[in-house]
Order: sequence, then structure tokens, then C-alpha cells
Amino acid sequence: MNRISLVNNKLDSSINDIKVEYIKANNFFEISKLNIDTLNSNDLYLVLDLDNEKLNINFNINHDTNLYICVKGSSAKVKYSYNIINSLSVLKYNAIDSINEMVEVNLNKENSNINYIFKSIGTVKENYDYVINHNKLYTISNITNNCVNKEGSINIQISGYVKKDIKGCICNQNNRIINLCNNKCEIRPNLYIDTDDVDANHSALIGRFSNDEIFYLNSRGINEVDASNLLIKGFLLSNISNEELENIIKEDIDNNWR
Amino acid sequence: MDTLKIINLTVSVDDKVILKDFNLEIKSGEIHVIMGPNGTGKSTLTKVILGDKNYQVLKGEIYFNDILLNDLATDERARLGIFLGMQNPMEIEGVTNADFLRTAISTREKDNFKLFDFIKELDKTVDYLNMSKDMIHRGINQGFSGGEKKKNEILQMYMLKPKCILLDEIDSGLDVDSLKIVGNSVMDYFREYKSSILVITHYQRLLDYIKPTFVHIMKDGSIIKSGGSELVKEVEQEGYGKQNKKFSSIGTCVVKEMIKDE
Ligand SMILES: Nc1ncnc2c1ncn2[C@@H]1O[C@H](COP(=O)(O)OP(=O)(O)O)[C@@H](O)[C@H]1O
Ligand SMILES: [Mg+2]
Repeated sequence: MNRISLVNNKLDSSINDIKVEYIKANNFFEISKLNIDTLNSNDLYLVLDLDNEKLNINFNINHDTNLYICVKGSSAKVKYSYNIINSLSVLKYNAIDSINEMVEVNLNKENSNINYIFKSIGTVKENYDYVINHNKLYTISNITNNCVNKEGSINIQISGYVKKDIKGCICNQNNRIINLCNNKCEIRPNLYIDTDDVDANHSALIGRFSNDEIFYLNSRGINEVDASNLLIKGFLLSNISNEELENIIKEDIDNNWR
Repeated sequence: MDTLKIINLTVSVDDKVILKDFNLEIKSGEIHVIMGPNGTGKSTLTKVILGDKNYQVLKGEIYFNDILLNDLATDERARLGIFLGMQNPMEIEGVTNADFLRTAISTREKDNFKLFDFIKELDKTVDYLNMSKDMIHRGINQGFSGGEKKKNEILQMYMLKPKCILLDEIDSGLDVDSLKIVGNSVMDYFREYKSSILVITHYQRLLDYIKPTFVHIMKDGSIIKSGGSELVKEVEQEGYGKQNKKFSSIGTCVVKEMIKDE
């Protein structure tokens, strides 16, 4: 698999048919830039390790691409722009303590689509702001955010835009925060849709696991703590089809809940 | 000898009283069948025995042997050896059946737990129940058909080796072949472990395989009549109405039609 890592402002890559360019900020006030173009159908694993950084990442997805992203470090402000004319699947896990993240998705060609799955364990503060632009006919976005808030706070704002005359789009947003503490979490989903011909769904759920799920596990002799751990594991690992990412998440679950 | 004893149990949910002065005693080596119209509190009874927090016990006691269950948590009751095969087993995404069962069994066996033996037994039981091997690594009941979910309950029963078994409509959603497998597997288990079993069903056809020691007719939250297998025939001919001299429909429990099928 292709691999790009940006650790302590140092870019490393082992890639084929992918163009990458990194422009490092000269001082704290500037924003570093990372540009990634896929030139052929590809899988790419991207690791970011960020400490008090500002970074803009620009993806030009010109071919069907599977993208795996793992973000580590202490804190950062990152803007991701995904410019898509084909099909993009993203699996992303944030292991970073504190993050301010802006995600802009531009579906720029008919039938282009994104399937985006995001996982995170909240320990400090996390803000996410998504803008999904359906710029062309028959474009599809499926955005899933699954976060477990252990002891931090998580805010998700997500807005989908479909303008008039942009027909046949599918715009799905599925957001769920399992809040294990009493800190405030928020999900604000918005759909700005100016056409009748669209299939749009959004769900936003903040809460604990359901009593019925816990009862089912308890009824097999599994205690409260193990039941909760199993459910956390299931929630954070569902649909994670990349082994490296899976192992990182597993390790973090073990570190946080054992 | 194990005994589950329910004494004057009165239970409410959302301020509505569901079980009223319910009494029942089940001993090892006995199979009890409860039949009764929909909404009468049969599933409530099974969940209360396991301490589902959705239900409030207003009055009465539940004992397993000499242990009062009322104040025990659900997992503690389960570890005493009580098992509930549910009417509607939960689907839990992401948690694999293997992980789930491994956690349940290693919790109980502690240091005696042997992963290799566990895997061997799981494989064997999956085969015995004619289930697909890959289900082990799928999420709990995720994408399972109604019949597969019920078989999965029986699989868990076999793995956990309970002493007292409650099976809530274990036959609904099963085709003829699966019904035979489930029915026979319950009887095999019963013969091998001499457990106590409570079966809730609407259908005579399950009782072709599972032979009850006692049959109880339940209505409006309590048992209104108890007897042997002959009660099943009575229900089949008269519906649930006759038992308390009132006319009543048997809801969706199409006992008669099922018999005609045979
Ligand atoms: N968790 C619950 N919340 C609210 N009402 C419930 C709940 N469980 C059962 N009930 C109500 O209790 C009554 C008995 O239900 P149930 O025990 O499922 O009956 P049965 O299994 O005999 O069909 C019904 O009126 C049902 O609506
Ligand atoms: Mg029921």
C-alpha cells in the first residue's frame, strides 16, 4: 500500500501514481500545506503526527481511491479538502488529544461519491465542521461519525448542500456520540437542499448504549464493565476494514478501558 | 437439584401492572410450558427473572435455590446458571459472536478458561446446530434471519451450560428443518444435563419435540390453569377463552391453523 507520513513536520512517502507536495509553514502564524493528487486507482495510508500545528490538506481524487488516515499527536487545527471526480472511500481515526478540524468535500463530477467513516475517542476537546458540496448531478455522500467521549467534549457540525437543478443526489449523514461522562457534546446536522429530487437522511444521536443491548450482554453473565467494553469495541471497530488502523484502535481501547 | 421459585410476583412497566401475584416453581428435570395470548406478560416474566431494569418489581420474590434474586444484578443471576433465550434477540454491530461468547465464558471460568477448548467446542456446536461457520466472526445476530437468531440463542445455551433455561418463543421464525433441530437440541440438552426448562410457545408443533411435564395457561398477568399436555389440546380446540369462562380471541396465536398444516 502507498504510504505518506508527516511526523514532526517531516514528510516521508513511499508512493506510486500519487503526487505529494508539502509546504512547511515558516512560523507559528502560517499554515502548512500538504497537497496529494491521486493519478491512478490507489490505496493510500496517511499518518499525521501533529503538535500545535496548523495544516491544510488538499486531496485531488482523480481515480477511485481508498484512503486510510490516522492522526496522532497533541493538538492541531487541520483543514481537509477533498476534491472528487471519482469514487473515494475514507476510513479515518483520530488518536490526537485535541483537534479543530474542518472538512470540505466537493463532489465535482456526475456520479462522483464519497463514503466516509470516522472514529474517535474523546479525551480532551474535539471540534469538527463538515461541509459537503454536491456540485454535480447524481453525486453521493455517506458520512459516518462514530465517537466515544471518554472524558473530553466533542462537537460536530455537519452541513450538506445540494443546489437547485442538481438532481438525483444521495446525501446521508450518520452521527453518533457515545458520551460516557457528563461533559457536553453536541451534533448539529444541517441539510441545505434546494431541490425536490434528492435522497437525504441525517441522524444524530448522543447518549449511552441502550439498556436492551446491555441487558442482552448481562444476561449471558457478562458484567457491566466488560459489557461496556465490548460495546465500545464493537462501535469503534465496526466497518474498519484496514488491519493497521484496526490494531491502533484496539490498542487505544485497551489503554483507555483496561 | 435446582429450583426456581416465583412467589406472588407483581410487576409493572411504565406504571402499568403486567404480572399480578404470579406463582410458579420449576425444578431440575422438569419442563414447563406457558401458553397464553399476546400481551399477557409472558416475555415480561422471563425478563424479570433475569432482572431487566425496564421492569419494576412491586411485590413478591424470586428464588433460585435459596438465593433471593430480587436484589442481584442481571449478570450475577446469569452466572448462577439461569439462561434466557429471548423472543427478539438483540443485534449488536461490531461485537463478534466469538468475542461475545469468549467474554461470557471466560468471566465465568476465570483462570480455568482455555481458549483452545472454547474454540473447539464452539466449532462443534455450530456444526451440531447446522449453522454457518462464518457466523462466529460476524456481529452478534447482525444480518441474521429470524431462524438464525433463534439458533444463536440455542448455541449460547449450549456454550454456557445453564441449569435453568427460559426459552421465549424459541420456535417463532423457524422453518420446519430448523424447528426440528432446535426442538431436538433442547431435548438433547435436557436429557444430558437434567436442567429445568421453561418454554413459552403458541404452537403445538414445538411440543412434537419438547415434551412438557406441566402446561400452564397464562392470562392477564397470572396463571389461570395448570395441567399436563392435555391442556395444549384444550387450547387448540377452544382458544384461551374457555379457561376462565370468558370468550376471547387468541390474537395471532394460530394454534389451530398450525395443527391443520401437519
Ligand atoms: N419494555 C416495555 N416498555 C413498555 N411496555 C412494555 C414493555 N415490555 C412489555 N410491555 C407491555 O407489557 C405487556 C406484556 O408484554 P409481554 O410481556 O411482551 O407480553 P407477551 O410476551 O405475553 O406477548 C404488553 O402490554 C406490553 O406492551
Ligand atoms: Mg412475548
